[in-house]
Amino acid sequence: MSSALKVDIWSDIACPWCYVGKRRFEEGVRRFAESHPDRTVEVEYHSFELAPDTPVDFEGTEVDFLADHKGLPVEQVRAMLEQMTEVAASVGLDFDYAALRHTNTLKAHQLLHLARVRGVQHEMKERLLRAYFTEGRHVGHHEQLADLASEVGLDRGEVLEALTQETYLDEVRADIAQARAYGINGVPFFVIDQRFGVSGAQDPAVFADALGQAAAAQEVQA
Amino acid sequence: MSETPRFQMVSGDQEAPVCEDGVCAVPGTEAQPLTEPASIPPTM
Repeated sequence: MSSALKVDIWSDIACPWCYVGKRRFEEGVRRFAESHPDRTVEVEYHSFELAPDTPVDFEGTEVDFLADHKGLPVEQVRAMLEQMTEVAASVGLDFDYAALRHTNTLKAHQLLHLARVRGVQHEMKERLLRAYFTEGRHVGHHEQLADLASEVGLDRGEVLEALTQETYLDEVRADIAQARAYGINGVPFFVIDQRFGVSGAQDPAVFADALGQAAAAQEVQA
Repeated sequence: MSETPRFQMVSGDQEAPVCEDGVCAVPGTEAQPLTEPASIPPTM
């Protein structure tokens, strides 16, 4: 009997390549499942803060953030965002950078850990990414996060208490420390079965291949 | 501080895009030079 392949994914909410990479990874899993119908894939998301110095209430657009806060040329930023929007569209995602509310994602990561405990982490991750990149929702405030959490079945009161008490802050810190120990500097980053690493929003074929390699390695060891 | 990954890396033929230090460039485009984190002053 084959055991499940565990995939640990480090990513951030404010990370367009993480959202695109999520879609490409999901397609890779679909292809892997076609060739390995007896295998299952378990996914767990881990926290990574791309810009921990970002204020919760950043006043300005994404262009402002990258141009002013990061010191990048405005025209280059605009071109980068246009290209990113096109790439997102290629995997069926509708990015709206004009509406995007740039914010600190530490609280959103804490919410993802609560969602993991309650068994709805995947739903919460997808909801947060869509809220951030497509709907222009603020994902840094407790109330807005609780609204989104309730949509995936989490108890609003529990969410607010967990965010206020920072119940899952240690888990977020542990994820970030683990990423550092792995030498992860950019996201998304995928670790398959604790044996194989995949960096970046790779093509679905790369994910399918990596899963296949992990499955073969597991069978050799069995 | 960082250690060598304990796993085997699997990669494709093309450069896989990532976000680093809050910046997410598109490989193969004019925005690519923005991936150099050394040019970004620390904000902490």
